[in-house]
Amino acid sequence: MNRSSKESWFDSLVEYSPILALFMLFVTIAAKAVKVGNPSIWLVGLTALPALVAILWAGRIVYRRGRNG
Amino acid sequence: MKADSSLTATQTRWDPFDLKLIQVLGTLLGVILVVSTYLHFWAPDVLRVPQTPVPDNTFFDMLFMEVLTLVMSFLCGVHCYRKFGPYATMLFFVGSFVFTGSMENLMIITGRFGLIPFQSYYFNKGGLTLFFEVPTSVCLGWFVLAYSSVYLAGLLFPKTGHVARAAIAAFICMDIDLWSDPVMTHPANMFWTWLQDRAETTHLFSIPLYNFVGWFGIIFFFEVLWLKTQDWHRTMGKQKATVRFFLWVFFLIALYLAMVVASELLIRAVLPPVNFTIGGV
Repeated sequence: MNRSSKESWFDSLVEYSPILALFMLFVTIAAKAVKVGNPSIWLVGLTALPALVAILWAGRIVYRRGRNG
Repeated sequence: MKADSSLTATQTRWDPFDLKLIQVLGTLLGVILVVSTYLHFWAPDVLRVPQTPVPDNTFFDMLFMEVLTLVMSFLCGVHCYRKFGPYATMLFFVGSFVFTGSMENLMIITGRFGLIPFQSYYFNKGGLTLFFEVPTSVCLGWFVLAYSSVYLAGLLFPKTGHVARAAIAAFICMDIDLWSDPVMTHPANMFWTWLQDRAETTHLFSIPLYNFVGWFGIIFFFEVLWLKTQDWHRTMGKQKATVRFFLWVFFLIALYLAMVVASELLIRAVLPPVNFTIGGV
């Protein structure tokens, strides 16, 4: 299980898939939140901010790991 | 591919045991999905399926939901396979599907038939096929969520032990649900419906408080079990580790139901039936 020197787009997609999945969940919730029509739903959304920060930070780790090989 | 620093693949290739296991588990799951889907759509009286009209629930909406979760499950499955090997992937997929699906079903069906002291919830949307009363897309979503969160926890805190890693993963998932549940259950979306009255128990953002305890518990228990099974695989062999894994799955399902019911009864006894909201949400 060694990283090949040239990764395909599929390999990259798979490498980011756990981060992508959680990020897409956030995007889906945001898209559904627009339909709620109460601006306070975005304040409630702030409670999920730690999870969003964790997802983005993990993405940064995977990116840096990829760049360092 | 570089293996995770604190957890490595217990094997990298399929062996005859894996192939036999995937056949047995795949057949069992397939039969359950076919029977459940038939009962839900064509014989709803058997499980007293509520017939609530909901917005945006056309055939294509359901198909989109099913395909999207299938694609994400496939990608996360390949990721897990590359990092942890076929055996660990199979256990994670089937284990999380059955574990979370069974827990959701227990809450829905026992509540509906009056077998626990309160009514819980039911799903209005979710896809074309069902695992008893839970849409397959929800079970697949649990797999994606559970795997992604435990992987993230390992990336962010690589030196933590099994229990701490599972707790971090469970916290991430519970935190996401603090926003997801109020949005998804709002009348504009209605993905699922809570049956408890606001005057009956304590609510947070219009969602029963015990739901968040349940979210933490469901992820935490499963992650600890799956991480422990990697150790069992190394020390006692695959067959014994598999039997032990599934025995624990069924034990933890019962424990989870007891824990959620107890936590809800405790909440009712200790806290006033208030809905803690921000701006009415």
